[in-house]
Amino acid sequence: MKDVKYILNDTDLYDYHRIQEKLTRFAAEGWHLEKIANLFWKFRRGEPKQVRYEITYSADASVYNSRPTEAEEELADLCAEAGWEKVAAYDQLQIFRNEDPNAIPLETDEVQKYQNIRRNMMWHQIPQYLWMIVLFAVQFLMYGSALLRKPAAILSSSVTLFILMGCAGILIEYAVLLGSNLLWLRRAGRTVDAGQAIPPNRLSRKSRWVQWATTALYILGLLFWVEPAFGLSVLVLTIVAVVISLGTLAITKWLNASRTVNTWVPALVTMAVILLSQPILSPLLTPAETPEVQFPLTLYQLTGERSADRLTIEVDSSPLVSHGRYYDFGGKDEIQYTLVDIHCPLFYDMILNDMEQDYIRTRDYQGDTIICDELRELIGADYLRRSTSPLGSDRWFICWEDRILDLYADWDLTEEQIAILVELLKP
Amino acid sequence: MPREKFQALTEQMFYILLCLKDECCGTDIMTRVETLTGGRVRVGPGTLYNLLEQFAEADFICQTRVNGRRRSYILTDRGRSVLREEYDRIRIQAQDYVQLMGEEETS
Repeated sequence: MKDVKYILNDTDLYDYHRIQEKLTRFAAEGWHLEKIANLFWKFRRGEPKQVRYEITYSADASVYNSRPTEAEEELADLCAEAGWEKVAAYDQLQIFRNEDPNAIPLETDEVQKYQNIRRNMMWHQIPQYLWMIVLFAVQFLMYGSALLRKPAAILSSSVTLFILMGCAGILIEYAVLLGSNLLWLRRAGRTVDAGQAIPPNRLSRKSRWVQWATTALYILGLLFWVEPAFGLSVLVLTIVAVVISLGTLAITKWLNASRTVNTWVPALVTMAVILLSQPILSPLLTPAETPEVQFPLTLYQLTGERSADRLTIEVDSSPLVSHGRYYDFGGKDEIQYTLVDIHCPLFYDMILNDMEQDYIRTRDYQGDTIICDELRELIGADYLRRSTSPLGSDRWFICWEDRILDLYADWDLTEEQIAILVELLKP
Repeated sequence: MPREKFQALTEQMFYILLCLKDECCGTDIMTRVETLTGGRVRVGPGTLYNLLEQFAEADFICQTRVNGRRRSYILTDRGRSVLREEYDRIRIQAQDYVQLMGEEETS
């Protein structure tokens, strides 16, 4: 029979009602708290006992302190004189136990208790949440503005989409956590002003589900949404970074370093290790090379001219959009074209507007002609523009139901060539 | 401003300050308050720790001795003044009660 077990902690640091209930219940079953960390709490088997657990918070305590502060130790001494044994501490959380059912409670003034909790939350937890929201809001806005500038390219990249959705998910997660805790603080303040006890933070318990859901979606997204090798590599890299960071923190704390050193050294060491291991990591983190891309339309198919230089500028695909830019040069003639397949109709108009603006801005001849309906119907397109330049270039902008083509040729396409183009590129 | 914060003292605040008319360390305060009030008012160690910190910050008490981690405190002049004001407030309240409720109710 095991004497030690580790329980995953899914309780907010400031949901002291729930923490106390759980510890008391475990003690009655014979499992007594020995040590706590952020995720896992360690329990040791002993005699089942009716034990009171009570919690308070110390504002100058921190996970980055090598040792308990003087304030923590004074508090512990005072509590010990009243029969309260300090069991464990993590960050600002201080846990005490007492086997005497008649012992004076740790806190006998609800107003003071509330003010202490509020002070701790406003100094530590709330700023942390705000920083995360600001950080990921900036990331989201950066990727969001890139989406508005290059919708086809962004929406066709599984990796970029994952980052964009990941940022949105984390933003929502921390906004929910922040909102629920601020609401509880306000409600608790009003309740205490009315002379009643601080109510449990039930909102935060529900909002933890959002946190777990976001974490699960992040892991599933890495494993199944983006390229498997890439996703798995990022997941492994994240775990390695966390292990290095925690390991370095454990070492600096063991060396009795200052709070500043404990805060910055693990972060810098982790960054340094990741940067220095880039030559090894880079091949793993680069999405797997796709096999040679099949050109939807080649110069040879249009003119019979062999390619002298053929390359794909961008080819990417996601469940939302497939996007490719192709260039084929034969020595005499050349074609360049962008072909976008929109699998999700929600984004059709956004991509159409962006591509049409690009067409208008970059066509050789500024006065183009909207083709008459006869040719548009012949091609089977919903929308068609063509611009032919006196210099001999031919630019086509064709929209089908879920495909958009922007094609440039440096000669005027013949009717036969138009027919080949339509046959090969019409969805 | 600390004075506004402690404008009306709670019972626990009142008795802690009262006990500190003489030098006293944190641990003994809990015992003295309970003895003085016959067990009616009890101050938990967490509450006592926070209040001592706030009283020191508001200059109601000052530290007299440090013996290891045991700190002793005593009332300052400002603290005595605050305590006196609170006593006057309670006394006036009691007088108002007697005046309104009559001798019969208060006997």
